[in-house]
Amino acid sequence: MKKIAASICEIVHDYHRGNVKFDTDHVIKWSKQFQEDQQFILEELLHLLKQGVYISEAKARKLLIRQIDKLAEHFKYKNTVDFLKHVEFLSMQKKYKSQSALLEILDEELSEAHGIRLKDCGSKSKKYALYIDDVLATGGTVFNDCTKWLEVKNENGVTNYDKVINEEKIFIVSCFCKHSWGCYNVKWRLKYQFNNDAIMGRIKFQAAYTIQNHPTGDGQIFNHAYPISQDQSKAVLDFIKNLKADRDEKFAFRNINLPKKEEFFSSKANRIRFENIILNKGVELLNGVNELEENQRPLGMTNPTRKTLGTGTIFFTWRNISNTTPVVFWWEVQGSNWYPLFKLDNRGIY
Amino acid sequence: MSAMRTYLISDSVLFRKTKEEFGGLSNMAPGFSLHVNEVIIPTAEHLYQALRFPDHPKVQWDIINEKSPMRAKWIGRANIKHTRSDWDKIQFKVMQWVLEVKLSQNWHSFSSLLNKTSGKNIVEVTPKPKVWGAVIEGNYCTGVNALGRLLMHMRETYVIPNKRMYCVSPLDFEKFNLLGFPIGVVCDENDSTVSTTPEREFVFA
Repeated sequence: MKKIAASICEIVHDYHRGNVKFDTDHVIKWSKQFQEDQQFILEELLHLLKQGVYISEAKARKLLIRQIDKLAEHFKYKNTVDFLKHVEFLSMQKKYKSQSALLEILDEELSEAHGIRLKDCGSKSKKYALYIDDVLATGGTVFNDCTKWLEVKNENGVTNYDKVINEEKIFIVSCFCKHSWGCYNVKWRLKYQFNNDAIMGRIKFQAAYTIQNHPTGDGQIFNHAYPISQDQSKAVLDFIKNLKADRDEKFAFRNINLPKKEEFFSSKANRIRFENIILNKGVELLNGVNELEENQRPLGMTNPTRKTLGTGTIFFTWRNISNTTPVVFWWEVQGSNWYPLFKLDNRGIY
Repeated sequence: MSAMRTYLISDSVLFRKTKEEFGGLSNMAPGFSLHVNEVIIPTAEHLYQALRFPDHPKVQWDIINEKSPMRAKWIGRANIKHTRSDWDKIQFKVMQWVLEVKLSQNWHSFSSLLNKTSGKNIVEVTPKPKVWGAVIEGNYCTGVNALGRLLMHMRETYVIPNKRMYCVSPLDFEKFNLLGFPIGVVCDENDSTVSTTPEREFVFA
């Protein structure tokens, strides 16, 4: 067991919070809470982590540069610096959110790799508006910020929306991890916001890693936690039943025949076992709270109108654990004895 | 099948191609996308074609992900042997439902287009006699004009009295499915449950 925990720590080597070191003792302490499933949970988690779902700071630095280089290539610029002279980096999130930290890092990396600072980007034009973030999950934050930006008017009363529709400007969301369903949500909500289909095709998404979580998508690999309905406990079924949300209950559980081929978990059987363990534990944790927020789910937060079990994100970074990941990974509330794997500075903030 | 109709051209709005003034009335018109079972569907034609194949989610997926509505139709034709067995009986009801979704989810643009046809017949002009449209014969158009009649029904039922639908109830058929999931009440992004389709009156029983 210690060996597996050590391997997990090797991957998650730079996730430390306060006086809690991410070391083998810490990992074992967390895994003990799964009792007889302790070893299995650790083995399967290690299997998942080996697939690149943890982004360390060093990896983040490389990815940020690689993604900018790819965009320069995609938009057919001779080199990255030429491209950056037409890029405006948007800073729209609150200071304690990921975006500011990522922009700070990017500033250092751009200076190192290409000899240009963020403040000097966009000196020729601001054709490309680049919105950087770590995870696009349900798409709510991106939709809100994108809408805010699109509605900005210049001194002549021309909005960014007008410029995007006329293809004078391009809005790009660039993140480490996007969810396929979340991207759909952003596009469809923008169509409604602006009463125009065309806007859906004008927003570009770039991600180093995609969680294929669209429930109806053909060939989606479901590289997230998405349990089947068979043999679920009464606690799980009651949790769903008691949700106030009323949309999309049909998507609450995965079709047992999907994914067609298991490419994410170590086997089909292990997927079912892992998903059910974290689901049941998550329900137990949430049932211990008097009043839940409307978007709170055992497998991580989701759109509050959805009668589903959560987003199920399996993706972590050294500085942020999305609240859309299953609660067993980060749950820490007053009155609960649960010891989180990823201790957070403040769930309310991150 | 319903009777033929004859329309005086001077009393009618005719549409043939999507780029014409009234091209938005065509099922193939871009700019009126739909959203069912969490999937964005480019045109009404895509959705109509996909609904022929409830037992074949892969065919439905291929249709929906084809950019061109004409090619989506061809995919439908290429898979005609997989068409649901009761299709001939239900196709007009399915089309009516598809148009309700198109109107509900594109209320501003589609209702204003339908409003512009107020007081006129709506006729889809086809070069050969086809059940969905009508052919031009001198000063008249003749044919069943099923699509035009459905559009006129939508106009009179929802647009003229300004009864906006926020949600469209599903058809009461077995296997009214898209991509492996039953289709439930389809709502627009505003997701109000106060105004669903009232008791549906089918144009073609």
